[in-house]
Amino acid sequence: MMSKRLNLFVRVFVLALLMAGFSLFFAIPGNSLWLVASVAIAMAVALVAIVAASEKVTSMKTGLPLEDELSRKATWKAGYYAFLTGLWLAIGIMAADFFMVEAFNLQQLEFRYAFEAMIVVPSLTFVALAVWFKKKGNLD
Amino acid sequence: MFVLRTRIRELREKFGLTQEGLAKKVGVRRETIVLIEKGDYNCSILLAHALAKELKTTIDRLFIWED
Repeated sequence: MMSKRLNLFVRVFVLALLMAGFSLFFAIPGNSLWLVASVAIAMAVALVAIVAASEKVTSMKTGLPLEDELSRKATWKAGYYAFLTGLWLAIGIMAADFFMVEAFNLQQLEFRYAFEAMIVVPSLTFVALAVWFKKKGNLD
Repeated sequence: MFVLRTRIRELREKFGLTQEGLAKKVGVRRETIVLIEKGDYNCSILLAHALAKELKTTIDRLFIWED
């Protein structure tokens, strides 16, 4: 059974790993970047799965439900904000790409970078907000 | 402005129930009971009814709105 402190540590570690992977994606030049980011994201997904499984085991042992009305509301609200984040990010990327090419004559943003950002940023937003809303309580 | 105060902790302790025990009886997570006790979460009528039933009281005696 995973203690609460360890659980929180793993969540923070996963977030840090995702952010590091995302940063590396832009920081390191060359084709290896895609591989580094992919490995980091795969590791983060595996860790999230481990945490979810441990929560499930804890829930089965204590007899308490894994989710209730508060956690469902928190998840839906986090999903709503993650969706809005993705939407605004898409608009931002399109605008940035347009100005980079048209105004500053810079190289056009590669599709894979934009795609990666569109997956990672809303996912991070969702995970962070879901945890925060569950801790905060009042969702009105 | 109205502030929600609850008597859940008082009644729970009276019946010798832990937060986990009460959570198990009404079918929610322990964290939800903690937040309701602190007045940080406005639960649904269904959950309020379940809590009142377990603590052998009524909803209006369990949840107090203070001006």
